[in-house]
Amino acid sequence: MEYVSCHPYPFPAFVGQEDLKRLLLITIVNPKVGGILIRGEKGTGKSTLARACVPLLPREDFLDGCVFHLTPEQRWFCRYCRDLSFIRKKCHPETINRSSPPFLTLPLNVTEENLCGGMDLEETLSQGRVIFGPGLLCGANHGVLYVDEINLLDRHLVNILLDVIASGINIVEREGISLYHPSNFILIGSMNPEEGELAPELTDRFGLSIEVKGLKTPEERVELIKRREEFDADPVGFEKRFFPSLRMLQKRILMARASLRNIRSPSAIYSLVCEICRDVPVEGHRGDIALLEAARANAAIEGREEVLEEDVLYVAPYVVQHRRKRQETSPSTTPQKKDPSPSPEEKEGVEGDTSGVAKEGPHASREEGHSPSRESPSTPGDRDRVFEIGEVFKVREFMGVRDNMRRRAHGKRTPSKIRGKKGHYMRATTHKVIEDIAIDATIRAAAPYQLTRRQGLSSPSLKVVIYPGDLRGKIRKKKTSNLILFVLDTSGSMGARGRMSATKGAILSLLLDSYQKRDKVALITFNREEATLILPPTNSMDMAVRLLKKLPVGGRTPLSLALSKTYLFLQQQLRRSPFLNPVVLFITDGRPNVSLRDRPPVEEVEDICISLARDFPGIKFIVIDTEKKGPMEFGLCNRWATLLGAHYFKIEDLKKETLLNLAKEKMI
Amino acid sequence: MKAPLYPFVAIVGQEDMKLALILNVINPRIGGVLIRGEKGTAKSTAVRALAEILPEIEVVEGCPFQLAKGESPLTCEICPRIECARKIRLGEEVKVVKRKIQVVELPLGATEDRVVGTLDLERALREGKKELEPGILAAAHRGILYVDEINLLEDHLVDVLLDAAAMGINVIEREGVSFSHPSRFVLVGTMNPEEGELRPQLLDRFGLCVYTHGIEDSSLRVEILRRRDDYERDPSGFCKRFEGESKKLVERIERAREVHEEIEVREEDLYAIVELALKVGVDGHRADIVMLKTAKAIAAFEGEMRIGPAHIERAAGLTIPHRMRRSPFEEIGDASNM
Repeated sequence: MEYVSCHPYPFPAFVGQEDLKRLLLITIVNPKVGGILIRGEKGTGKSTLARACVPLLPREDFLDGCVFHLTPEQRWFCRYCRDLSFIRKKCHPETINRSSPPFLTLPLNVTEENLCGGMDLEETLSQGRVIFGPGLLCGANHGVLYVDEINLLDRHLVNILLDVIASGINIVEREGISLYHPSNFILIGSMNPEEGELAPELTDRFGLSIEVKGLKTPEERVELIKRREEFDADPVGFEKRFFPSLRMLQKRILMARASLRNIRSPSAIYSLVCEICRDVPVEGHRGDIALLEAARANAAIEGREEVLEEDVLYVAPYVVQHRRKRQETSPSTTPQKKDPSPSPEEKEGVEGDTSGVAKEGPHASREEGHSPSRESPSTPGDRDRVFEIGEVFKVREFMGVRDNMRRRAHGKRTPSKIRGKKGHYMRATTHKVIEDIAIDATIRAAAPYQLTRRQGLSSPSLKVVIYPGDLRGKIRKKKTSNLILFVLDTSGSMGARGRMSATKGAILSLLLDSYQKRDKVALITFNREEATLILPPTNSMDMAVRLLKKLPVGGRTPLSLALSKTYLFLQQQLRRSPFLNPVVLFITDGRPNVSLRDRPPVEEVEDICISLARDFPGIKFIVIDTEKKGPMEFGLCNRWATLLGAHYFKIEDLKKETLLNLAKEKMI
Repeated sequence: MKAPLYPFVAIVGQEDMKLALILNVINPRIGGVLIRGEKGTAKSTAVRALAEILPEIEVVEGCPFQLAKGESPLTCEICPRIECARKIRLGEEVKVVKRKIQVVELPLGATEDRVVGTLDLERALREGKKELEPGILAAAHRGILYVDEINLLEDHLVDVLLDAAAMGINVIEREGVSFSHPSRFVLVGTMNPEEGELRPQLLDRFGLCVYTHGIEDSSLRVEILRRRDDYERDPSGFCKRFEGESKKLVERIERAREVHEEIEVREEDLYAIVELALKVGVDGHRADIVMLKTAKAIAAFEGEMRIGPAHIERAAGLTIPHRMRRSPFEEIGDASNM
């Protein structure tokens, strides 16, 4: 299972990124560190550097011809293997082959049996009984498994990976095969956070994680493009030029590996490691172990025999940052610019005064000085005003439980199984084989019986005879996109006390979240006597943001009109695409003062809420209340939310930290 | 016989687009071009017409992976094409043919197995062998992969494209088949931004990005109309009219292909490029690398032997705009400073 490689860029030829290079060495020297996650913007050489590690892996001993790619230390497994009927033994465990360990790439579209292993078609056909064919998890034993864009990897594959990494053992229970085998590998993942975050459970499995940034000095950048040009013009010559330094590096790794066992770590080091992990604080104990192992590897690379404090301190940020307890800060802060990690109380406090001031996010408005004056309390007037967009934050998952509805749309938020021949082929099933036949699985199902079946035929022109009972269908998975409809109150009262800024910030956060999940977004705003669909369903975030920025505030609050507009909009959208999965977010301070006809506005609103809930039972409604807590609070939104069967949030609560707690209380 | 395609040189205006396509032919490492623009601005016409002016490459005869001789011995070892493998094993010469670079189209409705390759059903049934049936990514190796309305491409297909484009290798681990083969292609995509944006990761893979607009100048519009009319009435006659011009362009491209590696680049040019990239604040280094390659290709195309400020400026216009950090956050960041 070797892969073609087109002259990888030599590792020592990389300009800059010294920390990343060192961490990769640490990972290779000491597999106990537990792999590395490389995060970074596009075009920073993440994947190029990861792939350049191939020649660095020191050669290792493997048992000759072993299906499971075992090393001599794993010989204990042979006793179990001997009794397995699924294995066609061609191995000579007494003989040892020294070879470079595997460096396997896990493509995002890998199917389950190729990852875990399954029936080997050719062997099964010729043997007339089920024979196991190894998957990537077999081949990667004692090597490296590399996943590019790991954040895009399918959920169920992630779960399989997690299982195997945790136990070091891959259990195969499929297609008549039942066995387990050891699978230890170094996991290297790379991702661009712009495309969405990695599942926290998986993040935690990585021993190290590092944020890569583009180089900043012109000299380095010039050197980089010069080398790149040279490499492109003459890859072979370029490789030769860097061969001596590559040799040096290989030697260094070899020596470090050999000395790793003998590295002393004084008890002061143990306490330092524990202190760091306790003070951060880090979830669980995996961090402590990774930190100690990484520090050891670093000492070994430096050629020392004892772990020093500086080793621990050097690797600490890369071990700790992605394991920080999530209440403290988002999982993605870099060690370079650590978040001051304000406590939740502090955050609340600051927002109480000036909700509009951004603290995080790259745009961090530094104009705190005049923001409060622009957003100072004012009576709801008729004058239109435009407010800045307030703080942007990470949004907690608030939808996306998988249901079994079959859909035809696409997107990333709600995973759902789909009908039709599109989507990613997940696995095969014996049900529903009418239209989308999983040929591979079908043939494999038929394979063990071929010897007998072919005997029954007079002139077997086909090697494989398939009976209807062998048929397997494909289960495909695609994530459907949601349509997110924002119904936004732009009346004068929303301008008071920075509500609008906070709201814009919240919407923008939701928009970004929507973008990463490829949702479509629509926006209805209402003020004065109107409710308008100012943004028809689109997935162009640019357009949404531009609109949002210019959105003025002023006038009265025709909430009932907005609700009926929503009703009509939903009706129309669902007629067009019945598989749509809309989510409706009402953002208002709950002070309607314009009615549709001649009844009091509040009564009208309640009536429409009831009919919305009745006529669109499948739709998720969410009410985001922008009313400030206090003695003047009307609390009407909460009541409507109940009528709608909606989730109800105060705008402050939308932040990830608080929502996490809400989720724990099973409110979502 | 099918009617000849509308000639590339007969396209009126849209100079950026034409240049970007030509530059990619001169140096495929530039990494493709994304053509953004309204409907009916000759986007698809230009890409299809490009096929006519593409140079020839040497390919092993019948190779399903479009390999040059000896390009990827590892692929040949596991290749399902038995004749070839036998010849190589026996040390016989494999036949090499010359043919034009191909434009391979990736339709929006393509299924994943057709794109990456899948289990060869016939051989599985007939011979009980699990072999790969190569997909679109194999056909596009060393050629041009054209995706119309790329912004509407399904997510899981985009992932596949990203994977292949990043490595230059298509790794297949599906349906019991394990295989990998080189897949380096010039990615050409067209899109209408009104219908939604591209994912930033994919956007960045495009070396160049150009915008096409409807042409305002009325005399040019008349010319477009007239040419289209002439072409439809008599395609072959129309093509003949532009034959000379086409030939000249092909020759010019050929020449540029030969010399673009040797274009002289001075230290100050490199600094100019890098500082430009730093000033506008692009993500990563791809902009720098591509800008240099583009400037060299432009110089080669213009028949000069060293790059100058004008080339860099032109290259920057093609390489930087789509790489500027312009995520929703950033745009607002700018606004709040105003």
